[in-house]
Amino acid sequence: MTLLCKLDAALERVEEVFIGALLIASSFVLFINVVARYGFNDSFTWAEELKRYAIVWMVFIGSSLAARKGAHISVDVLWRVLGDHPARRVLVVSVDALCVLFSLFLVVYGWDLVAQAREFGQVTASLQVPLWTVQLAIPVGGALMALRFAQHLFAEVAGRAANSSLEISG
Amino acid sequence: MTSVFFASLVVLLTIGVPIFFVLSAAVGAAMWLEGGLPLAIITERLFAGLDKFSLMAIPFFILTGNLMSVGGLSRRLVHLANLLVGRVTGGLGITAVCSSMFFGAISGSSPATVVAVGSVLYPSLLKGGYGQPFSIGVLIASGSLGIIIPPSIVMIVYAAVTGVSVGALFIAGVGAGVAYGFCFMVYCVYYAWRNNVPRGDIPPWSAVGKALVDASWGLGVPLVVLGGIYAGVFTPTEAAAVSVIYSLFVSAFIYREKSLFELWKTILDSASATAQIMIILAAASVLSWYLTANGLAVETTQAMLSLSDNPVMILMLINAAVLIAGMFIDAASIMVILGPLLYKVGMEIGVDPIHLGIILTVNGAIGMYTPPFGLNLFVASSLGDVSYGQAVRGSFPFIFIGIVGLIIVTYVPAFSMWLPHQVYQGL
Repeated sequence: MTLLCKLDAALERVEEVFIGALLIASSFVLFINVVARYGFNDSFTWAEELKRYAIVWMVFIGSSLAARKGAHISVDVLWRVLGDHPARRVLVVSVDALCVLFSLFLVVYGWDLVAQAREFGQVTASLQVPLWTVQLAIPVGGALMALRFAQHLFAEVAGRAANSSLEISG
Repeated sequence: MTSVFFASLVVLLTIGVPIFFVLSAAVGAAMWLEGGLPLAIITERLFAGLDKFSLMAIPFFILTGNLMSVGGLSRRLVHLANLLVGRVTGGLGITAVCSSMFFGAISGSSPATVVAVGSVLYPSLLKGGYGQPFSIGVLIASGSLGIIIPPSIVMIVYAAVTGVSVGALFIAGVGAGVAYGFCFMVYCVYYAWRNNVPRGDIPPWSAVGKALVDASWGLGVPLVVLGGIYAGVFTPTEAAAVSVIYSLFVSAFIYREKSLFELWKTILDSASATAQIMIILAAASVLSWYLTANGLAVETTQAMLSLSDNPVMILMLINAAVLIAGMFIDAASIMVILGPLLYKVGMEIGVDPIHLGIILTVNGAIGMYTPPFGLNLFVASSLGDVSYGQAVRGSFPFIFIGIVGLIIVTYVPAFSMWLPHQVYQGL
């Protein structure tokens, strides 16, 4: 359990640093592009594209992080109404199970997309990098999300004790 | 298969599945039963929905607002607002509204505005003789100005789902925000007069100059953003990125209240907050693809139009529907789900798409503090000793005032449209 907790915390750190770096790096790329356009009468056509792909990766990896923290935006009327009622746990478990399923859907069909782009050798408009390197964010994000939702599901089934130990590790 | 689609949409939403899963899974379920089309369309739309130029300003505006509020700007803005408007009856209440307007011009988010302004002003309001419900109410209600005064994430979302110009929406938000905020100010004066709240000290005008200089670094953000966009110096996205670098510079080297590590934490939090919003926008493009491909969009529009052919009535119906939706879900999600449909309805009855965007945004703003699930109500607990029940009680008079503001903005288009007409001659 402790090893798993450590791995979990490490993964979370890596994800955090990854998305934070993407966000701040794309701010700088855009800023430098504006400066270059006015200061040096020159601009990089690839800046806009690079930032767009950075944000795509940031969103999918960030979604895994949000799943880890239970921070995804949802309509939580029913959860609040149920409070500590035992039915709440049934509800939480079934929602987590659905989320795991759908995350796996993202892995399978996201991979389809990647395979297609590779088969046709599609490249991006100005950077000329393979398109699948960007689309890969979907299956990777999906896999990480499946892991996080499964983790939450497990914690809920195992009861409050396991849940709180996971909380501490985070 | 329409019934499967709507049923799974409603059931999944109600049991609390994350909204972005709901939107794409409902489409997936319906497509799977229909057969024929490859399910990879869903991931394809998910990617295409995110890989959109118009949405790219969102992460940077979120980051700018957060950097500025942790960096020490909010205290300076409140101080300035208080010096300017604090001298009249109800001055401290008006200060709250006014500070929220200033802060809204830097941040595009409503809960962030409540926290930034409220944490500074809440103790002063109580000390100044305002009742607790009023103090909470004025803060959570005027915090909603954060999404009306540009920049606004909700407006960017509307622009992305309808194709309306972000720049035009932003500038229309200025007039609408001032009109909406003015309604709150009038109520503040009435409240203070009615309850004999003492006036604050009258500060010398010389102090104003000093406060203005002190806050000017922060007020530079709207200048950079709006000025830059309208002068055609850069796109809204570039404006947002430039203001990130600017606010990073101001927080790290001018105000110097937070360490670089704390600013890095802010960047991480903003990235995470962005992901939560933008994944929903990606899923929304799955939904709107499905609605259009099946002709459901047209059917829903027709159904709404069949209720009445009077534009005044239709606008009232739109407002009522969005107000109710706003009690349960946040403004950006409403824009995502209802935006494209209401846009079509608005086109049919001849409402200007920019004006409609402003109406929907003001609606969403009211929803931010409407019970039971307005986000600002929950944020209020971070202001100090405030329970959810107290926040709800405080919100009531302001909901009525907000609706008055909404009616004015809805039926007097000039408030929103005058400025954009001046700036964009061809509009």
